[in-house]
Amino acid sequence: MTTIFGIRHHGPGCARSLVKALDALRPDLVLIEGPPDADELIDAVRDPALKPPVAILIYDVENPRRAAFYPFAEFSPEWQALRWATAQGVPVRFLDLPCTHRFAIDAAKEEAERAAAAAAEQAEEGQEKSAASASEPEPEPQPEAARGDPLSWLAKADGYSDGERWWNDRVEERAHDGDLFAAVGEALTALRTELALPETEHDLRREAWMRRGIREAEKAGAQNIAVVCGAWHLPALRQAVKAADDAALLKGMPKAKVRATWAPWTFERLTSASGYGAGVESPGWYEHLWERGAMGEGDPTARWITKAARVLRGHDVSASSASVIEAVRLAQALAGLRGRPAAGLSETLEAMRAVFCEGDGALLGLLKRPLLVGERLGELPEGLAKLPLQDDIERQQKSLRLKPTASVTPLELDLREPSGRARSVFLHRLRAVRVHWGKPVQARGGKGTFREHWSLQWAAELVLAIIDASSFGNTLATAAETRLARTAEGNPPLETLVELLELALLADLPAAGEAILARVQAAAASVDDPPGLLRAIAPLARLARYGSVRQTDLAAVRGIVIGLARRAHVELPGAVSGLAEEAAAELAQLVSGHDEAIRLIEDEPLAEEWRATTRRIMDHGSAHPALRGLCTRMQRDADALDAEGVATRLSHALSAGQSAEAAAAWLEGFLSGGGAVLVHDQALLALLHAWLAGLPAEQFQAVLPLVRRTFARFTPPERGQIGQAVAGLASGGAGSGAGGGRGSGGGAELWEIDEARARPAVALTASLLGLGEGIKS
Amino acid sequence: MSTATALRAHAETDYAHELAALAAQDERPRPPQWRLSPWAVADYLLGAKLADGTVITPKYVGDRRIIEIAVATLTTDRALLLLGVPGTAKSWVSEHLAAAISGDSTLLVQGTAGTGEEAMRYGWNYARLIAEGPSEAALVPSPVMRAMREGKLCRVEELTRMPSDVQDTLITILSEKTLPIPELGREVLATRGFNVIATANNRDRGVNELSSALLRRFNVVVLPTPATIDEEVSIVSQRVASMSKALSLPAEAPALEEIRRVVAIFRELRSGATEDGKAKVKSPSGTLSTAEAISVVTQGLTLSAHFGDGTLKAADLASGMIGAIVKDPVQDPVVFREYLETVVKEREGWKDLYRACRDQMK
Repeated sequence: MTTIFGIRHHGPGCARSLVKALDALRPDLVLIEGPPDADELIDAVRDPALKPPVAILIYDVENPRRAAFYPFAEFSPEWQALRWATAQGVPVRFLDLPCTHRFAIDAAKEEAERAAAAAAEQAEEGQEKSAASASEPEPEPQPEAARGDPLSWLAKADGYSDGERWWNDRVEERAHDGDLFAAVGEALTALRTELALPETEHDLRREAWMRRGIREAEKAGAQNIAVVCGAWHLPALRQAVKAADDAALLKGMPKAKVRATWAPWTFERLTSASGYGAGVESPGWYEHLWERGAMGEGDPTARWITKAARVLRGHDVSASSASVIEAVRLAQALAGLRGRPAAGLSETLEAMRAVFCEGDGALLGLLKRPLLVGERLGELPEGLAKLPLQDDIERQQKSLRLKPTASVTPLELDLREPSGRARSVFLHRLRAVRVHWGKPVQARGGKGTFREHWSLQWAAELVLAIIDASSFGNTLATAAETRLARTAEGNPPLETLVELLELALLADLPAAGEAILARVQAAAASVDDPPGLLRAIAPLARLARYGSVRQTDLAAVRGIVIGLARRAHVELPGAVSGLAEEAAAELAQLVSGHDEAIRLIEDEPLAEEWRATTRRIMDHGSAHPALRGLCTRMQRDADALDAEGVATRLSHALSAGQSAEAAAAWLEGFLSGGGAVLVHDQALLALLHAWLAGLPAEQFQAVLPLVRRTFARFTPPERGQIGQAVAGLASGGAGSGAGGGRGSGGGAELWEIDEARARPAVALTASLLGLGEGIKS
Repeated sequence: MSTATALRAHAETDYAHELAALAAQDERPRPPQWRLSPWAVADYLLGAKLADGTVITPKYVGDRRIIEIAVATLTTDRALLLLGVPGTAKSWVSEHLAAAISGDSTLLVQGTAGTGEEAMRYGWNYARLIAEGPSEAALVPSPVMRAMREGKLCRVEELTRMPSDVQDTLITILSEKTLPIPELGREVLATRGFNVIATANNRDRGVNELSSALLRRFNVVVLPTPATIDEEVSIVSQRVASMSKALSLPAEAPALEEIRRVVAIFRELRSGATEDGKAKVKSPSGTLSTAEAISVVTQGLTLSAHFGDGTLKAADLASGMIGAIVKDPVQDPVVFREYLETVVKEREGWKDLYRACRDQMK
């Protein structure tokens, strides 16, 4: 006898009923809709250390990107069937079409498509266009898309708006089982007969395979078979089809070499929003239903809303116990109004929105990740058959004490310590093989070069990335090295090469570094636009400078930087005219970055050259004003231009002959290095003040946003000081100098101080305040 | 005054036949003092066709869930707060809820800056108070007190417009369901069926913010602006039809196309982007609610009826539209002119509207 249970993947109500039905039926063989390639993995289910959500991963050995996942949660009926069978010692097998055929068919199809495309291209070249398009085949209709959600038909018949809600109500959230599976079977049979939608060839094959599997099991002597499959397939499996017809459909299928393994999974990847076809709306809700059901608690609403209230409280939303009570009452009243036996997910959410969130849906969004989706991450027992690379990564994770978590975890590393360095190298190597577990984040505040900040988040699809990477090597170091070198061989642009080089150094892969360096040298020779050069110089200079922190020899990098910089200095003055607003802003940023790079590289002749270059741009009549302002500032900060020179240029730039927009752009460039200059140089401030005060109203309105943007970049103390200084200007402008008590007010007296003696003190104070390196003692 | 001459009849008068038909056929359980069951109330607001063929017109066009939450709230003893930008049918919904549930939408407290405590609790007939001393006969009950005695719904409009101390008198009423009268040493206990529907404008946030103690006693339902242009057009045309009937305008019913244009302009300016999502536009300072679109069309109809040829033309709409859009004399004309030049001018078949608006903007 064969009993077929039609279930919904990841339905807790189905799972509960299925366990009860299996207990009653006591079958001697369980067949589950799943890939037979993974039959040998089933035994691991008995191991309590295998904690769902987990997935069976099957991949093509030749092309690991071609892979299929079969996820299971605790509340998935298939998982419960596996658990039940392994615990009872009942033989259990997978029944679906093996991936070995599926992958091979897909591969053949892709190959054929590619060939067809190539042929079409050739045909187009050879013949006239009209002839080629006439021979094109009609696009195949997509039965999958036409079918949509088949449950929605049943839902509509029952007066519901969508299928998921209907199924939840009728199956997953119901309190007692009744004869659930008989009802589901009847409904789906009627549905499929009525709809008679065309099935894809793939689905037809799968169903034929499953029918054949059942027939073979019956022939092999099983007396009482339980088949667990998606409800949609149930009518097809019951259908009487001649064995010969199935055999014809399944004849001569190609085979691919596949491998199967367990992989930890996340709830996030179980949601339909993640793109998973059999996904559910809220795995968190299903887990809650499953747990409540397992504990025999009747109405899950109260506990669910309490959980939600606790999450909201964590985000400073006042959700008191009194509100919880009101929310539960409202949810139940809503359920009553909608004629449902108990409050479902939508009722509880709507009730919480009205009671906790003042009707504001955005606050409810706080619940999404922790509650509706859930942050659960599956676990595998140690030593479960895996890829060597995955083993290597896990070993290192353990020895470096970096535990993967599904939530975002920040990590701060001190590179002066061996353990910090080892972790950094490990994370960089993972980046090199494109397993993006850790993301480097820009630290706020401190610029220490010996600290690294990371943000770690493990996602289930990283397993796929590991499999992909495993084709490059069996240990992390070799895989990373090979992958970097391979990427560099593809002749990417210089900037990418520099990034790769940086990564190779950070990941402590000297062999890859050397290979990439040779490429960098070759690519550097062929770059000829100044922005490209500048873009490459900045990271290389950083490398040359900071490489020493990591104890690597980088003399070669230094050589390349100096060579690139020389060329940039020659070509840059020719590239500063006729620029649009955005291009100028971009170039200004690159120039600032380059200035920093020159300082990092600490090469006096080169620095001298750079000063000469900025001087040329500064006085370059047709250069974009923002760049001229910026270069003036650099000249001043490098002590290459005296105060008088600065004042002259400022007054030129702001003189009435210039358009107000150009003046504001110049100012933006000039002040991009910080506002301290205005505090210390009263003459400049007076010029600026006079210009701004003298602008006609219309022009003032035009430049106000620009000037505002410029000043908004200053730190609040700077702005405060400038404000005071301006106030001093206004009162001290009469020439009285009476405000001698206030330093900023009595500008005139400030200059009577013995400058030579005051300078060291000022420089020290300035460096303590971090006011920029421009002030030298 | 008879209802025939009233400018605007109460909901329970206007829709008496619908309420009667619903009550006659409603077999579901009714909460104490309710005229209809919660299901029938939802049907009354959202529209339905009854078994005997009576058609219930929809009073609220929009998401069914919103009305369901509102009705479900009133079946529990929590008060209901309807929140939304001006013109999202808050008062309209509250009036119809009161009419359907209590058969009486007149127990109303209008919140203003000058609303005093006596409007929420009780006042005195001073002549009697002085003559007889404090007594039941000298007491002037507020609508809230009457609703409590009679077990009906009381509406509080524009809750956030009234001063905070007056708002807070609701706390005792909502949590203890009692209204003490210390002068008489007595109290009024709320009869079953009593509840409060308050409305508040969320543009007014921060004027008289609700205290958290009071807010905690409300379930809040936010009424959104209509989701789609078709929804909004149907709201406008329905309301314009009923209003022009009430004003007995001799004009023809406006073409749907004209209403659609007004609604499209309002939606685009409100959302800051054109309906096709291709171009960004600036938003003026006003709210440009559906209610304002309704009044623009009605005003246009009036103009065409009395001063025009009786058919609604672009010129009749333009003045009302400019009045609704240009609220700030400095910024809004710029915004609207920019919108006219960049969007309206380019649109196929909108030339007449463009010219009418441009001429009147001068």
